Amino acid sequence: MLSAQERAHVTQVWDLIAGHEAPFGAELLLRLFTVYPSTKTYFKHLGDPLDEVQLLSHGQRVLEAVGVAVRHMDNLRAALSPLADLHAHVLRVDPTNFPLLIQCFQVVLASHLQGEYTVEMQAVWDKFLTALAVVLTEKYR
Amino acid sequence: RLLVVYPWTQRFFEHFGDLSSADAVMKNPKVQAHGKKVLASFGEGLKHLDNLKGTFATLSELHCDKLHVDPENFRLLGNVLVVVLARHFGKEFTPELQTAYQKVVAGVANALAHKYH
Repeated sequence: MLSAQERAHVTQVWDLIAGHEAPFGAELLLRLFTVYPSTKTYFKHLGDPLDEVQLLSHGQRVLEAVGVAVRHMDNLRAALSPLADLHAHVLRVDPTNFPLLIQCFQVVLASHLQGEYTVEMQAVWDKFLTALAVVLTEKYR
Repeated sequence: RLLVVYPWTQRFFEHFGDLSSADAVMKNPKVQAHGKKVLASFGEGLKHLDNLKGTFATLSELHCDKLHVDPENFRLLGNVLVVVLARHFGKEFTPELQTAYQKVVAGVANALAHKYH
């Protein structure tokens, strides 16, 4: 699904995030909850007001899963199967929420990478994250 | 960026010439001119946040009757604009600022779709 050049762009951006999963993930979730408050309904366990320690911990978990996806771009389905099961049977996050998360992900990348965030990177990461969301919601029914 | 990230949006711009690569799109003079026109219009909208539907009524009719643009494209464009703003303003583009701008672009998109029939 992703060409060799596209895979290179995925890895290129990931290398800039790797090691910073917790703060990136926390900012991602903070933006999601601030911009799209209805998404908080899935995260009651993070507290209200938001517990910063929990936010960092959960943010790290989300970004680490993205890292798994980056390392298995050739076989997202197999690599993310347990997460897909979790989302289908336990979490059951409505699929319409994933584009909201992806928009926030793009904003985090753009605001951190700024001039380095080329249009090619934006295009590839939109494609990649959308494919990820498809895999996570595939077993819903 | 819209034309590169969501290439199917190029369907409205076949008369713009070379859109064959990301580089071609970004450097295309017709794309740049159109981008300027769109942003100027958006800027006008910012002066009338209390009456977006009225402000964009004529443009809405144009996009429906003459241009035949699916309103979903306005939402895609709005989201790309927010990412472009984030890229320019970096850390200054706080979650609160993003919230405000996501609301504005959603309002503009709805206003542009309002006269569709």
